[in-house]
Amino acid sequence: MRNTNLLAAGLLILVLTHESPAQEPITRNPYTSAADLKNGARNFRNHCAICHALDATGESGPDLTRSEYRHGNSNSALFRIVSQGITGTSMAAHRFSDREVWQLVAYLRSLDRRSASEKLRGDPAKGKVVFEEQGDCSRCHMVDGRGGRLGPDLSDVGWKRSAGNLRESVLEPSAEIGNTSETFVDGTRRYWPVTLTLADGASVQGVVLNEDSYSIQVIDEEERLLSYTKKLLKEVRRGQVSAMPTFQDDLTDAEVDDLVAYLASLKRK
Amino acid sequence: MKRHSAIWLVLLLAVACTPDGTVSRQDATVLSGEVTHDELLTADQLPGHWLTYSGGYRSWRYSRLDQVDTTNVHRLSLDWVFQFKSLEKVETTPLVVNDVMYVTQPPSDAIALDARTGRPFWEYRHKLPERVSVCCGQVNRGMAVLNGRVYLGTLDAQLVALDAKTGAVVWKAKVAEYSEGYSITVAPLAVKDKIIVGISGGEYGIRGFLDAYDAATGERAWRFYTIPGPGEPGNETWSGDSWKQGGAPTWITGSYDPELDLIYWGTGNPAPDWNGDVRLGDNLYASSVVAVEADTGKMRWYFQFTPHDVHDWDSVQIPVLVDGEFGGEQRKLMYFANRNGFYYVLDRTSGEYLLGKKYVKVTWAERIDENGRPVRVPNMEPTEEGTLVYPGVQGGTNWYSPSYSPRTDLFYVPVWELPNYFYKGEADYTPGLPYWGGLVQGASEEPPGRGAIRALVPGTGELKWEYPLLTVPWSGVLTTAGDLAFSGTTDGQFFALDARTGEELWVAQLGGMIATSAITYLNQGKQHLAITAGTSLFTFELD
Repeated sequence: MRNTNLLAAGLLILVLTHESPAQEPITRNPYTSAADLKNGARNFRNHCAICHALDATGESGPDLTRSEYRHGNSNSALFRIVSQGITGTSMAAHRFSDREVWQLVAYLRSLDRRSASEKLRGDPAKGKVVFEEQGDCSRCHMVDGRGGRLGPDLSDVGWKRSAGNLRESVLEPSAEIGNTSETFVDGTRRYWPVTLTLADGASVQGVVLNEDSYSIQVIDEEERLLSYTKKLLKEVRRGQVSAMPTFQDDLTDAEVDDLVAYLASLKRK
Repeated sequence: MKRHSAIWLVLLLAVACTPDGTVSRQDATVLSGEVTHDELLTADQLPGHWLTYSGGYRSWRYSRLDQVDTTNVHRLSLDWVFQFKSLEKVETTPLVVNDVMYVTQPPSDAIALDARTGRPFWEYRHKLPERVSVCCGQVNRGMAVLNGRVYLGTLDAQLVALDAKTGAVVWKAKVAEYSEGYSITVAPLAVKDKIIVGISGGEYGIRGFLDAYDAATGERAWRFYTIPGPGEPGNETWSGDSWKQGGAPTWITGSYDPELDLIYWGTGNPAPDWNGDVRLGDNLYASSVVAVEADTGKMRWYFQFTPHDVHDWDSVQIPVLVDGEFGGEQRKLMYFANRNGFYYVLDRTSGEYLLGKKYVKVTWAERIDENGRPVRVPNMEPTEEGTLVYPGVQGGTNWYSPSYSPRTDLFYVPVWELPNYFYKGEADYTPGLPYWGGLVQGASEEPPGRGAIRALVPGTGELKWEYPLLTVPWSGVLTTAGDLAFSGTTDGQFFALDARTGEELWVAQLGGMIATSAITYLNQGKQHLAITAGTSLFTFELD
């Protein structure tokens, strides 16, 4: 018996209390040979990819190619999370042998190196300026209570996304948006643009916050929260591209680097 | 003593009621699980109660109650709510006997509620070991009731008999070794003097079976292995020793035909799920329906829907037993909407294949041939790179109860229109550990998945009507003599449709995922409906 929601059974939603990586004792991973890494990769594919995706960039579970994890980054923290799971989340305990757990930790470390190879080239302080001025990102995104509401709150996006993933979001938002657990929930493409035609012919433009078979909840361009019974609408027209513009042509390479560095630094706990 | 006895007799006479729906009591609620096998035989003619998982041995999930109908269903309003002390997904179907509701609470608890007030008479908390092997949540789907006892399967693979009046343990039987991946989530079925119970663990490399236990003593009466052992016919459909951990679990309650004295039960996927290389052959009797003799467990016939299944398409859907005309001939039929995307009609006396028709988008097979075997489309097996297949891993439908209404002569099924990528992986078996042999992933470039409730013409499989849903349903269908079809959504809406047309008549938001099917029964002479949503149980009546 399997089902897609059960695929969420291993979901690693990093939402609970944070354990400071600094508090974790330093433990040496005894299994880091090429053969160990290979076995770790094999077990990852067989047991973890179902939620974290084959390339570990996240499906129903979060992206594991980030350089830093919310529940701890030390070897001992990773060992504990893999073997015992995370209480209160869909990240289940796994009955691997200690050796297999260490091999998985080694594999996760190799992923870290991969994302680290895409070194943050920018300056977060300059990126903050890009975010607020050149990019005008705060028109739609909130950070620590300041900014707009038409896009997701980004106060902790540095925990959730890798630098590469953030870069893709800035340059190709339509390619990426809609495919993460954050923005695609139960068939609802959150923050996707929608145009509603009301019974009297009037039109409402906004982005989707929630939706089911019977009703749709949106926030419009004036940031009004609106809810409609679908039966009473003439039409629900969904945008084919993300409400988020691409910054491919509007920002310089250096500005994109700075912006990505800033976003990666947003780690509110 | 004598005076006492006389008082008890008067009280009993005053409050006694029989399971015919005509309640003749005064004020008190009679707490009793006194259901005999004869009453179970006619359960679907005793609509005041809900006596088996599917409401009767034919598994129609249909009620003769008609107080609530298409003209007044909009007046349904909340009676009471019971909140479970659990955060696990609730997949249970309650039983209702003489105004007592027997309901399971995840992971493996049992509760007797006063159906009038929702207040518990007793609770049985089953202590589980620290770790049990479950693929899909710590769930339980309900109980069986017989002769003053209720019967509960547990996640540590025990069958527990409880006194229906107190919840006291009468006996416990170890069905299988939980540390090897066996668990019980199914609602048992009482048949004659036996309790039939299936097993879960298809993702853990178990060897599946169906068991019968003496209801009085808890002794095992028979076991039917859904994977034949060496020397038995069918064992040759498993390469090497793969039969030993070939899966084929039995995790949804089956049906029973008392005239033929046959129990019909669907079997789950072969293990490992997505790598068939280690189990070459048809893999009998996985992804099949089997007919076994109620007294002996001996198999009379089988029908395998998906030979050598590599997509995890368990065939645990509920066999719906209808006596009707097919091809101009009156026959004992079985209607079966399979997870593989085809709707089937079988002759349930012989297992003869009569019809197979797609009821959702199917890309892995062109059709079903005259012998009942799928004509496969090449290259639809899981691969290293991933193979896109409709239906997805959840299939066209899964374990959600179908329904059949004799008034409309329609078959109702909750469906999923959703593909998946299927990946083949390595398959190493370790007892108690997942044995998947691959994985599945969503197909984000495909149109978003959608659900629906569909009404099929059972003799032909043709679509009569569809009620579309934005999200895929986890709720089964209940139909009633009021010509209503009830079901629910993942988003928490409990709704009623006109069973003839699919027209939406009533919707209530219950605030949590509905992952079970509704029941209906009489309380205080009034028709009630019960359904779980989120971690609560809701009951409704006309205001």
